[in-house]
Amino acid sequence: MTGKLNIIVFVCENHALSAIRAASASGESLPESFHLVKLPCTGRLETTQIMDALRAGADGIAVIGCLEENCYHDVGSMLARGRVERVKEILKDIQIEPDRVEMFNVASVSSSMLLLKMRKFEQKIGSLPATPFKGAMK
Amino acid sequence: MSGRILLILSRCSACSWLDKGSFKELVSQLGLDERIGKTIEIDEICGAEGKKKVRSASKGRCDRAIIASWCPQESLGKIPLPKGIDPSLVEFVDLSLRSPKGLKEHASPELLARTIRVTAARLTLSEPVKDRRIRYSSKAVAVIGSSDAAIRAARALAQHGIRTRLIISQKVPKLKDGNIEVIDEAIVKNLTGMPGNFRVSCRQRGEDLEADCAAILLVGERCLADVRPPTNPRVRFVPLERFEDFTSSGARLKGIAFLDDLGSIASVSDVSVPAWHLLLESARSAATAGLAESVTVIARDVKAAGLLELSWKEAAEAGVKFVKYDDKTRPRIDKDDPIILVKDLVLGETIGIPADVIVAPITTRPWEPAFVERLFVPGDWDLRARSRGPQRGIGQSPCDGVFVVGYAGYAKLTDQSYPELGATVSEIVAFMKRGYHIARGAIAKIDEDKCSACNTCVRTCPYRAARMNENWKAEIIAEKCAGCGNCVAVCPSRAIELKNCTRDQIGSQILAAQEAIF
Repeated sequence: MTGKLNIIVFVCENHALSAIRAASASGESLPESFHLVKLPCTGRLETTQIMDALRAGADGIAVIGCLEENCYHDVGSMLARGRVERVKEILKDIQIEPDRVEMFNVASVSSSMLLLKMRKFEQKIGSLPATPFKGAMK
Repeated sequence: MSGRILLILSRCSACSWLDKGSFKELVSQLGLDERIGKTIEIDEICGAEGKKKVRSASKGRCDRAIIASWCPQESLGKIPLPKGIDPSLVEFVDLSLRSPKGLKEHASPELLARTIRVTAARLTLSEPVKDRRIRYSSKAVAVIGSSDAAIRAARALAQHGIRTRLIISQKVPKLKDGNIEVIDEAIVKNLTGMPGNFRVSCRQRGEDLEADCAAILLVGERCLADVRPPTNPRVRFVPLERFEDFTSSGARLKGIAFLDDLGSIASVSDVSVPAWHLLLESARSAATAGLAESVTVIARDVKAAGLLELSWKEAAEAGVKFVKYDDKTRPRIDKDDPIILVKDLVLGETIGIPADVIVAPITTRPWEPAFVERLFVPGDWDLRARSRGPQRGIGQSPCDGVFVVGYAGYAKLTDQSYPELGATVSEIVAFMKRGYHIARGAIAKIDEDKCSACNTCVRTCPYRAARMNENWKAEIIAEKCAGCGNCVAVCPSRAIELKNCTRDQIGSQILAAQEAIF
């Protein structure tokens, strides 16, 4: 697709945000197309909110949380993973690429790994056709 | 509630790379946002002069503020605010996250403006909150447990000058240390109170006693229960805790059976309690490694184990079979063949499961159910107080002020318990030195009219801050809620809202991140 991408990143305030901070401290940052929405924990995120973001015209959704076995709030990223999988199923049903939604788990120190994954995700989203919701909510 | 925002923008030349033209563009972009009432530009916000300027600035008609700078919040220090702005309604935006120094291509002013606008979208809908500090009512720590481990813990605490009440079930000779008050031959009956102000009721030699304490340390008791080997000599028994060593032996077997309770075949009730995480993980790894032709988990009810549905699913996908039995029809070992006979509740008939090896946990008795329920700590399915809850260090539990060591937490061996004890004692010393417990202001709130009493939030809360009240409606214990919002998302009737992270706020942030540039 052409034009600027618009990817919403739901990021937990704990380990995931620390990873992004660590990246910026080393002089790198998330690609420009990513827009952060901070959450106290990825377990706060509901399926409807991911769908809302897609419906509002986002090309992709990334959910970044803590590692599952080391989640700051114990169960948050595990619950979020289930919800992201659920959204993927819904997207498959309504014939939208399920790849648009992805969950990433990071430790607070693995910032370069996160950036690598994010760039790959951006490339993948870029190779998809334009989202049907683009401009629908004006 | 919504208010207008005072934007304090730092244009410190040491950190920011923006030239004058792009800075002007950024300000003009932000000026188009109706949420932002006024913009103040400050040079060197981290310096004393910049701070003075912020304090003396007029706030206009704004009641909340965003401080946007290229420095992380910690390096800015405390920033004095103009009069009339609530400190809980101030958000920091670290612009270096979007556009750090040293990057080849800097972010455009549009992107920076959008970053600030996303925060503004959340902040306009925020409500002022206040964290409360609750001072400890007592200066004592109650050590509850038995055996030498509990005495050792009490001594270690007393050495740090902390008044310790040792509540122990055995008879204990008098201890020399003046800081220790021994309540021996006592059984704990009840536990009430909140972090920092606990009250332990116990019964000592027929007399009822009550003890106030700021913190509680639960010390696990014996390490190995009386393990009765299976009756069939062709069946080998491996403790679940030692299963990892067993897998490395690499023997190819006909069948491995995981039992939830060794007591079920040893005809002793309540001997063992499953450490479910370990059991499911071991079963899955055994199936993936192909250790045996069949891997089976024989349990009363696997899915009842709380939030373990996913581990259960993973194990099932790896090829682990699950057989369910009930208390009346316990499994037994066949006299001649290495087979376990169990009545499958789903099929309704007795089936034979090949098992050269039985793996079962060798844990001791759990705490009394009534006790764990009042402990404010999430008990696992097996009613064992959980140690190492969310975000906490070694020996800590999800409840501030309750510490769990050794077997009281989960099944572990003695050589792991003693180092844990040392670390936990230092955690308790730090807790007692602090002197207060913080009750957060930004917590979940339940709308009682919508609550359908489904208990989902009570099961989910990692801090056990949700409970059912007398009217059979859920309520959040404010002293314990950490504001993670996990209950909000699981509530099927949408009765819960997290203060300052409501559905409206997330929705408006999504829109702000999406909106086309003005």
